[in-house]
Amino acid sequence: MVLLVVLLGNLTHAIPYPGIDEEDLEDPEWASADIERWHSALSLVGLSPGHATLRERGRALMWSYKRFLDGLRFPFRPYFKSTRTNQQWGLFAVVTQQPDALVVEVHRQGVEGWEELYRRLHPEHRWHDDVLKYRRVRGIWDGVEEKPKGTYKRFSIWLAKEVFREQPDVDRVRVALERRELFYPWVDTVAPVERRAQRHHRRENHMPASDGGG
Amino acid sequence: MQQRLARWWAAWVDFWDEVEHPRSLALVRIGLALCLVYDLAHIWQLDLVLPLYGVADEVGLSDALMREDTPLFYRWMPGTAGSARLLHAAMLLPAISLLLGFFTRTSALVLLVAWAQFASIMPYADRGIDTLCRLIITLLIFAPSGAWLSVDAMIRTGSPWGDGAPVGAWARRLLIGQLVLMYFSAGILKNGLTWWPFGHFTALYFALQDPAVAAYDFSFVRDQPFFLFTQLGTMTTMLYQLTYPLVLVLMWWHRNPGRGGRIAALATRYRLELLWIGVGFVFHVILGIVMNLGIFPWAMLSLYPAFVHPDAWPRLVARLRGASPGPGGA
Repeated sequence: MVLLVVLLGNLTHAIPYPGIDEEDLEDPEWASADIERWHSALSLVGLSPGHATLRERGRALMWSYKRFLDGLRFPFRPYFKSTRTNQQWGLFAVVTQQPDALVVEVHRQGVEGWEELYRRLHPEHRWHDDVLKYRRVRGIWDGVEEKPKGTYKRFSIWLAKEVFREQPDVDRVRVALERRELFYPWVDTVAPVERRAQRHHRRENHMPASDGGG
Repeated sequence: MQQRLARWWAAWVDFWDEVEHPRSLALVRIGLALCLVYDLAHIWQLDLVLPLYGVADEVGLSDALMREDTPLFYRWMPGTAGSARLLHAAMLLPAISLLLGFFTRTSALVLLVAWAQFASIMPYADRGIDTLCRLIITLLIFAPSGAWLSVDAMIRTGSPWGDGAPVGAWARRLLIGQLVLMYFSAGILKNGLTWWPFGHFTALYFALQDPAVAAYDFSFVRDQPFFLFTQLGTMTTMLYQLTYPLVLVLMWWHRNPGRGGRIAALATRYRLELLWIGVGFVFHVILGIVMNLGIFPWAMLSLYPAFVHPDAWPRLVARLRGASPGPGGA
């Protein structure tokens, strides 16, 4: 009987869970791309009730489905919540076509311009590559979302402090993500690199005076 | 109807009540704990204990003290370097004792509690493989994985190999169920277009060019025949993950010869389930080489001994040594 309960608990958490939240209920633009796709498909067979109705029905259906799953999961929630586990295994569910590369640059006292210290997979600019490529550190900055993760700013400050501590002649550090769009091999285009989430750090703002800070 | 239900229930209870030698379960414990010890020691070696386990404005990167739902650990402990080191030690030490099979179940419990706290403190540093490991560790809290090749066995029986007393087969069967569920779920939740024919099966092609996860510069995959290889790899991944539940059917047929007709007889004769298990094995080894995913592929492989019936190990070892295979169960 215990094993049956264990299996049921895990199976309820394995059923695909919809990504709809309470704030989505009022969002007039909710799932626009999906609604458009469904509208196009249903229009082909003359069954589309129109964008607005489709959105309302889709939203109501997804919300009911979510509430139903929440009800099923409820008795098992304490275990999954306290152990921070689930059974949703979307491993690499979406592979990004716009990957980011982490770049760290430094400015040295008395030297003009910026020097690249780190770029992932660069044959020479490999400052602390073993740390920055470590899966748990990568998780802090890497993701498919447009906005950098909440920890990104603190991560960039930590990186800057590490550089300042190790390299006394560095007075500024720049941390950025460089986004490059990838295309299918038959598309003969090279997209420009887009630099985003750039953070500047000055030694005087982060290091004590004894370390050359302010 | 009632009789039929009673029969099913009796068969269900019998199935989970069966016993077997603990060596497969113990091998999972040892393999998994080895990966965890390596990972946690690696954090220490990279000098990442304070950044990952510590809280912001003091020593680390976590916002645990700024959130309303501050994790229990930092509700009870100050946000100091000492606390960060303590939590890391609270994971590393039980991982080592789990590896050694010393206070095996207690070690698994302590490890689970500490690990869940770490996941709350630094959720971005907690990956899918960590979730899977915590599920397996939960199982090891209840399963007798320390009955073989362990200090516990040594203390109890005078030999690290234990006394060979059979243990419940339920834990190994749940492990198999977990693997099947994980692979199948990974297949059906792949909603990115590039995993499907409409996206030209290009998921691996794009993943290999993502500098965050690629182990090397794979820009050459734009050229043939490498692009084709990535497409075949994507196709195979989808096919084997989506059809993974067949492994349970095949294992069921193997266990119940005579059922399932001619197809089942053929599948049993050629041990078709080994195809899925073999593809998974090769898939993880390749991932471990070409991608920068840390312990993910190796921790996954550490669970594979669950697929091997404990009685088959002596024959496998004998075959590897070149000796003639002795008798033993399937």
